[in-house]
Amino acid sequence: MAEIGEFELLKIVSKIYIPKKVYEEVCTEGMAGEREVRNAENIEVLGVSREEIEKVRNKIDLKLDAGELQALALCNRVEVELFLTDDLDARDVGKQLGFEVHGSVGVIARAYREGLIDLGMAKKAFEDLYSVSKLFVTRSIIEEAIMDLEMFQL
Amino acid sequence: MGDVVLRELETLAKERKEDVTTIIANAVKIGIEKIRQETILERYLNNLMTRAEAVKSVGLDIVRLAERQREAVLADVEWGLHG
Repeated sequence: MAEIGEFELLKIVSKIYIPKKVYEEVCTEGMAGEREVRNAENIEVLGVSREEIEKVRNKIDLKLDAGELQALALCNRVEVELFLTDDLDARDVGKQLGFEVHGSVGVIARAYREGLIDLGMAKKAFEDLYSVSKLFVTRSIIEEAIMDLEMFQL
Repeated sequence: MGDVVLRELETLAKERKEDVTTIIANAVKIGIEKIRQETILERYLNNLMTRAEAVKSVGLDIVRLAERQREAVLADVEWGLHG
């Protein structure tokens, strides 16, 4: 979301928990969103124990990065309503573990539905996911999503 | 925009110890390949080409990635607007 300048839309959720590893990836290892994560009032950074990570690792088939593993371990502990990720493997594992999983597209669509942004802004954010962000997505997939937005009656 | 691209080109040329025309030639080649792949995937996702044809043209990994991404995007839109 930071890559397309729409980090603010994460206001659709009241509280965001991120594991220490993800915080480090963003704030010290150069991933997009350092300023946004540091300044966000609704983000809490929590540590995850090795046991919690192993518990998740033992339940899954796919190999995930440390950040995603820690995030899923955190989901287990905090009993979150939503696991937010754009990583397709993490998304599959999250669903396999029983979490409601969504990514940037879902956040933008929900922000539009809740009136945080208008249709034009939502369409622009979708287009930026294709043309600006590092998300792997084709133009036709984004166009399909935009058509759904346009058909939605607020 | 033009100035930014030119500066970027010059920086890359210096960094890679190549001349600007070589950088531009490589950029065009890489860009065309990316657009070709995306065009194939769009044809497949819009049912204008079979999966086997798409796989033959861009490889199984990329086709699978596009399928998964489409599924994720559409599920996200559904949740965002109606969930």
